[in-house]
Amino acid sequence: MARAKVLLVDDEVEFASTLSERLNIRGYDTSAVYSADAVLNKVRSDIPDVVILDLKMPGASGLDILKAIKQFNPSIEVILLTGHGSEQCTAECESGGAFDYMMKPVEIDSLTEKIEMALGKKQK
Amino acid sequence: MKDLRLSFINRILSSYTHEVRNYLAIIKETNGLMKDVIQIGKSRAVEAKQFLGFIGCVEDQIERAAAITDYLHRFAHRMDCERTAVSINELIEELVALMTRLAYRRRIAFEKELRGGLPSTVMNPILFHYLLFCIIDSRMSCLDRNGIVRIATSFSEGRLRINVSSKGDVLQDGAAELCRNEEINGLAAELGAEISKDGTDMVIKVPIMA
Repeated sequence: MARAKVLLVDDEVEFASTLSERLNIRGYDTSAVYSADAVLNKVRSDIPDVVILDLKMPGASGLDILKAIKQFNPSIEVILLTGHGSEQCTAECESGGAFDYMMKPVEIDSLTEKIEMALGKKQK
Repeated sequence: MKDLRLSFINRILSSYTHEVRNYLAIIKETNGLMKDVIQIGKSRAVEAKQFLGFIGCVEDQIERAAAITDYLHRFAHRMDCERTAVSINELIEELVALMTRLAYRRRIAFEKELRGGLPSTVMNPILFHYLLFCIIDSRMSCLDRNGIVRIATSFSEGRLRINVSSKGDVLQDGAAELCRNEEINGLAAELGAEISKDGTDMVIKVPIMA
């Protein structure tokens, strides 16, 4: 069975590369990009099942990237990573079509649980 | 006016918490990866080399977090006295460190040319921070991505001089507007300072007061 493809998007290279390695260990086919500019090219060239996207990227809003991903392919599920959860953040995530959002630092088990839920939603 | 000053402090605090949260996230993931490697049970030789890399990464993040926390601590204590002897260069170093994340999100970098040996002056440091914040923030909002905001200090005609300039693709030149801004001029007057435009530079001239 093919491994689920997960794309990590975060400008903090150490964070994204380490989390990517941890998700690989857990059986996902994970890759990472570190700039807003690179996201759409990567998504177009190698369509992921789930994108884990930092809400605050230099030079671009995570919500704009989320909308662009959803416009390109609505079946890609996006989990947003944010510094601080708030009602406003929840509303923005929902309106942008995100599957869910999580606060940094993330618990790996909670993240994999959310990824599995997102994959389950795709299969329905 | 008071609300705007509070909003300046909010932006500094939010920039700080964002920065520290990123460092903590990296530390958490690096520690998590070490745990993963131990649980997988890789060979000892690989572990030792890999673990030194992990430990180095954690140490780097702790150092970065400690440095920014030190700047925030100093910034907070600038509110202790309304008038005190200050080094302009130190005030600039603090503010620029705390604004770096705000600039980074706009893909703007800071350059500093702070002349050594400048005389100290007596002023309200937090008011100076606020004035400089407004000017740097205004310069940043005039710049497109990949721009540079440069802050230089010097001493001339018995006054400290702070030049704030921008390099890169300019979206709009707001310098003249900023010079006419009532709040900016009010702040400068409270400090006994003067705001002017020199070419495309914004200039703050601060008198030396014993």
